[in-house]
Formats: sequence, structure tokens, C-alpha cells
Amino acid sequence: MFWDKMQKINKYYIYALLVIALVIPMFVPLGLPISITADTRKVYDLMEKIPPGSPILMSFDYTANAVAEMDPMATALLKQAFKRGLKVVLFSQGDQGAVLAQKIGDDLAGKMKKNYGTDYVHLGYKPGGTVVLRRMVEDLWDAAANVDMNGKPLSSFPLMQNIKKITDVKAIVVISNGSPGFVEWLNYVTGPQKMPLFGGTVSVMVPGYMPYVQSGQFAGLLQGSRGTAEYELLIKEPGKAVSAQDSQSLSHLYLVTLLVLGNLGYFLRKKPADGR
Amino acid sequence: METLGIWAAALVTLAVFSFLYRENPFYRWAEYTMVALAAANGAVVTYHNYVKPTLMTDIVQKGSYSLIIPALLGLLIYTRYFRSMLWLSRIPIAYWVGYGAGYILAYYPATLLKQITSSFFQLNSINNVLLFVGVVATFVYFIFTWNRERYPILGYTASVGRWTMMIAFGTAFGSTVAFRFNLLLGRLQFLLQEWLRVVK
Repeated sequence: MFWDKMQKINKYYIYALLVIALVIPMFVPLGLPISITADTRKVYDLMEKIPPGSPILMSFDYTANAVAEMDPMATALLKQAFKRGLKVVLFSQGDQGAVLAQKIGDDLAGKMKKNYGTDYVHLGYKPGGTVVLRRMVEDLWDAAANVDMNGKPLSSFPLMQNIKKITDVKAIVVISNGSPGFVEWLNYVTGPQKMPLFGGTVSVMVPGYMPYVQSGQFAGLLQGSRGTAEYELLIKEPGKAVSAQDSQSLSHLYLVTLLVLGNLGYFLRKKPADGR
Repeated sequence: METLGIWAAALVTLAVFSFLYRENPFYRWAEYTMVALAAANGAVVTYHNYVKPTLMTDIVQKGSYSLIIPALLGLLIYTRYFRSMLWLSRIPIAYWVGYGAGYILAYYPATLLKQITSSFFQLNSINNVLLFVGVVATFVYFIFTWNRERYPILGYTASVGRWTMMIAFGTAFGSTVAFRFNLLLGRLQFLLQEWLRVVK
């Protein structure tokens, strides 16, 4: 009888309990421990190994629907790059990513006293998909139509004077929630040019990307909000991802409880006469 | 101005959440507005970041008049709005498909071969053994030319492959749920921290 009732429970109760599970830790932090995984440490080490003053390219290949997971990740990676004195060329394979990159880049640069043109430049979104990436290998300026995100000529930026093609940067750091993203960079740039490619992605993409990590084609991969939280701890800048982990854990516990109850209900309910 | 932006984002978020109750005009308004904004943003960014600088710098200032040919080729796509000239719109599509197919054939094999060679490893750890068994069993699952009743070993191996894939699908499902929860969490953080400011 109990299990039959549970099968017909109003879905709004399930929604409400999920919201409660997510919101409670915001008011009462549980402080659950966050251990650092080897994959996250690898990304951190890759960034640490790049000599200060070297240029890297950060590709913001994510869309507005993934900002909850990707903004903190992009912020943490860019923060470490700026902290280490790396020169950063921002880029995006999508129009939304370019706007998000500008906001994060300018905010962090303001806080960390970095100058546009010497410490970082934002190329923006350049339409053309993989053709643009391929062109970057031969002539990065031409691929970017010779202008930055705001239409200013690249020739006016000191940082760009030594970056004429993609191989002039030490690494490609990609923050992506799908396609175009990592795979395009791998196929057309980092694979043929044998350049390091690392970064992070949303949790939903992680299983699909693991073969690339296992093969070494992605040198390192931050995995969703959890990976970002670990990274924030490594760079000693706990932020949004760390504070979200309690809510994440509680909501996952809630989901596991629902799965167990659902399966118990299926097996223990009163079976209809036809055995279904 | 920032406050206005936060209020707009909060009200649109609530309009989208209202779909949980049922389809309604607020949700539809939010959905249509999002689609319109994305299209408009894409068009403006493309024009200012690529079309305008290419036209002004490369064609007008540098005199690279050969670029007019691909530009005209691209413009042919708009002939689809005129029934009598519709056939012309297939030319840029054919060019693009041919170029894309050639590109993929040139670049993808290198990526895939690396994936295959990376599955050749020493069986010196439990992880490697599991990976090896999973790869082989999954391949066997997709061999349909040999009769599994005649060769029972194929059937057993295929069922291991099936279980391997089921575990992979479970992992993918779990990751998807984690991502969706995170989206909801992001919106709740925004509403409570930035809009209502009841949480620090």
C-alpha cells in the first residue's frame, strides 16, 4: 500500500525537496571536506610549469546556459594565469563565449591590476568555425581579421607583436561546454602542431572526454563544478565553486535516495494480476 | 544600471521557472525573447568582428579584391528566397559540404588513430585490465556476422560488452543530472545572493 502511494506521489513535492536540498547549505554550510583529485592537480601543474611572461591562449568556448559551472572555472584558470604573470590571449569559438570572456577578463584584470594590450588581449569571436582555427596556425592576425574584440587593430597592442601564429603561444587552455570546443582545437591545432591542450568542461561532457584524457590528447581536464572547487583550493582562492559543493553533495544524496526508493517501490509494490 | 540588469535577469528566471507549473504566456515571452536576443547578438558580433574589418581592411584598404569572389559565393545562399533562383543557393552549400568532408578526412584519422594506439598498453594494473576487457567486449558486442548460438563465447563476451556500455551510460546519466542540478543551483544562488541578497 505504502509503495503504491509512493508511485503516485505529486511531482511538485519532489521539486520542492530538491530546492530545499540545494538551498539549506547556502544558509547553513556543512563544510564537507573536498579532496584534490589527480586530474585537477595535473591541470594546476601544467599551468605552473609555463614560465612567467609566456603567452597562452584561453578559448572561452561555452554558452550562457553553462555559466553556473563554467564562469567559476574560467575565473579560477585566468586568475592563476594572471597570478603567475602569464600573458593571455582571450578568444572564443562562439559569440556568447566572447561576451562572457570580456566580462571575466576585464573584471579580473581590474582587480589584479593587469593592463589591456600588454598583459592580455581579447580577440573576441571570429566566425568561420574550424577554418579560423586552421588559419591561426599560419597567420593568427589574419584569422582574427587583424582586430580585437572591440575592432581595434592588433598592431596597436605590444602583447601581439610576438604572437603572429598560434604556435607562438605556449599552451591552449579551453573552457568548453560542448561543441565547438576541445575536439576542434585538438583536430586542427594542438594535434597537428603538437601543442599542449588542457582546460575544463561541464560535468555532462566528462565521460565523453575521458578517452582523450586517457590517450594524452588532452593534457589535463577540470571536471565540472567539483573540479573547479578543487582548483580554487589549489590556487588558494576559494570561490563560488567551493561554496556550491555542500549544495551539490546534498542534492546528489537526495537523488540517490530517490533512486533507491524508486527501485524499492518497483520491486515491493503490489504487482497487478498480469504481472507487469 | 546594474540593479536594473539584476532585476531583469531575476524576473526572466522566474518566468522560465513558471513552466514547472504549466505552459504560460510569461514562459513563452521569456523563451521568444531569448531566441531573438541570441540571433541579434550573433548577427551584430559577426558583423563587427569579421564582416566589417574584412571588407574595410582586406578589400578596401589592402586591395585584396579576390576576396569578393567568396563573399559573392556566400551571398548566393540568400537566393533561396526567390523560387526562380533557388538552385543557386545550392552552390555555396555544395562548396561547404565538399570542403568540410575533405577537412574531416584530412584531420580526423590522426585523432582517431591516437585513440586506438592509446588502448594498447601493458596489463599491469586493475584499471588497465578493466579497460582492455571493456574495449574488447564492447567491440565484440557489435559483431553481428557470426552466429552467437554457434559460437557461445561470442555471446558471453557480448554480454560483458553490454554491461560495460550500461555502466558507461549510467556514468553519462549521472553526469547529466549533476550538470542539471548545477544549472538550478546557479540560478538559486543568483536569486538568493545577487537579487534578494538573503545569502552572502
